[in-house]
Amino acid sequence: MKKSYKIRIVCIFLAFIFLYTAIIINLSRIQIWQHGFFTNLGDKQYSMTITKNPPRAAIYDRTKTRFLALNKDSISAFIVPNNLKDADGVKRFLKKHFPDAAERLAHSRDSKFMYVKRKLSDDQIEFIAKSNLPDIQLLHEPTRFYPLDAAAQIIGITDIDNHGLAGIELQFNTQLSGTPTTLTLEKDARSGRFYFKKETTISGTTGMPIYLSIDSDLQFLVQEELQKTIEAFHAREGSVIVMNPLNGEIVAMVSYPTFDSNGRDAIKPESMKSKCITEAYELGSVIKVFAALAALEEEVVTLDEQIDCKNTNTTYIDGRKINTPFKDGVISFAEVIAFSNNIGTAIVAKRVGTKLYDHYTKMGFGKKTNIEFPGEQKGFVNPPKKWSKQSIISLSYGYEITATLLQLTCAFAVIANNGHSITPTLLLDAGHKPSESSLYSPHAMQDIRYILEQTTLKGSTKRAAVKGYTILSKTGTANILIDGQYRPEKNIYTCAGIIEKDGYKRVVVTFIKEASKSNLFAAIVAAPLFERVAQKVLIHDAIIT
Amino acid sequence: MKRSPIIPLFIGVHLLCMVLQIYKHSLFVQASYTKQKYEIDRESLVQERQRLTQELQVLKNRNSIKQYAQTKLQMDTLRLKQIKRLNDHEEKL
Repeated sequence: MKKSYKIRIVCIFLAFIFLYTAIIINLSRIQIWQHGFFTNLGDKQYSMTITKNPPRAAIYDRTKTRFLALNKDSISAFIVPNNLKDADGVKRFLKKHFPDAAERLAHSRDSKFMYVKRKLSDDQIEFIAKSNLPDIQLLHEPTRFYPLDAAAQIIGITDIDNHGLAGIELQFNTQLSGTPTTLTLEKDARSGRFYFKKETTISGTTGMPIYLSIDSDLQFLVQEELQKTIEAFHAREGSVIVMNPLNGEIVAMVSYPTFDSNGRDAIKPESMKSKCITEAYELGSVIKVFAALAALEEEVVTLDEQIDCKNTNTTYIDGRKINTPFKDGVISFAEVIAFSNNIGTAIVAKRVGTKLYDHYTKMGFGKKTNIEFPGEQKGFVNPPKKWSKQSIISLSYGYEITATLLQLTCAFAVIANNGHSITPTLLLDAGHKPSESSLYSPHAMQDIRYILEQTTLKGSTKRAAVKGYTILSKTGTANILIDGQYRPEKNIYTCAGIIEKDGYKRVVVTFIKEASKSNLFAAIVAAPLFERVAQKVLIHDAIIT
Repeated sequence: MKRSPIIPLFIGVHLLCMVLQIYKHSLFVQASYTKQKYEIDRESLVQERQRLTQELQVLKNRNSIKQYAQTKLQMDTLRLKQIKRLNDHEEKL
């Protein structure tokens, strides 16, 4: 073999050796030393991780079939600012129809995503479609729809990302929204629409529906009656609660004015509050029921004891001025409460002394009821250590004590349950039962029931009576405290009572605030509303005589 | 020289296995695509049901039902005194 051939063969051999070495080194680099990097790169091309939020669960009323909140799709518009094909066209369009988005675009031209507007109206969708701008794209997003305006304050609303913002939507946000599921997909590189393999990385949970104790029909009917009363008296606002005292279920809870939870742009924050739970008021004479109950329990008075009410509208007790709207002479204690005489009530309350505070707190005043609702107020009962000479007098007829309407409802539920308290609930079948021990002795309960029945039959709440049914009720008219002064021309009117027929019981509280006419009383404003609500409740529940 | 049949047979079986494996994979991909198409269809049907439910709820609006009952059907609000429970004797009559 020639020498030159040998050299060539060696050269070729070495060249191959070099090439193979280079390949082996490169392969080692790719597969061993930079294994993680290239695996990651490959995964990024073919794998994707997505997080799927389960649909928000619905809220139902007590029938379990009628929706109070459900899902619907809303359309949002977005653009990709750093990749606009017709940037000038988009700017012109946004400037004309969405000036806010145009301003945002001017500040974020390099961003990869920008919402033009979320939750578009039908008109906005239409003119985006007509604009023929491919840069403006539409996106489906879940949102909430609320079929019953009358329940708006109870249900609340969700924010733009569908998280609970108020009411039941906020209280049960976690339960309603569930938890997201994380999935890893090996995707189809060409279409990007399909995948080869799907793996659940984090398993989520679906949202659980909520069944409320509210009856949507009754809620609507009660709101209608409330609205009529507010309009008739040109009042500022009002509320009504209907509760089943046997299990604490609230079957209707209405405040008016309400708001349109589907038209969130026009919502006034003030109208979103469920005032039955989140506002405490000085309720006036309706509190006399519990002062009387305290006196009866402490055995400092009997039903037929004659009390001298001085036959005057104004008198002084311990140097303190006391007014009462109607003059009464010497009348029985039952009549003092039935005719709502402040002088007679204060005389008896003085005998109870500081124990009055204990009785009020025992009835739940000054404490939260622990209803499943955000923002509950606990109210206030002036404690004896802060009392002035006036305090015992004021407390006897509903001043120096603030309470929510729900607390008042629960306090009346104690009377309806013959002394057994109940925790209120907005949830269906919550399993609440009246307390095992009674808060008051049977004789005190019997006496207070007699007083309340007489109040409806002969006293200040005659207008609350419903023929053929036992109604135990009491009204209260209270001046509103504004800038440290009680304003006689600005009042709140309350009527609280119990409707009974055989084993059937409902507690109803009606409340009207600031009627435009002065010199009105709850007997004229709140008691007729009570009667009409009672009628609706009885017809609805088919409790016919 | 006589060639052994084992080598072609071995290669043939392997080729067949490879073809079958490819066929199996293509069937799997096809089934997976069909499944995903059904999933997309299902999702759109769920969305449609949601839309229709919402429309139904809008139609069930109590205010409009009441207005219709009062204006078109001349219905009136019922009062408690207008209702009477019939006893057995009256029911039979």
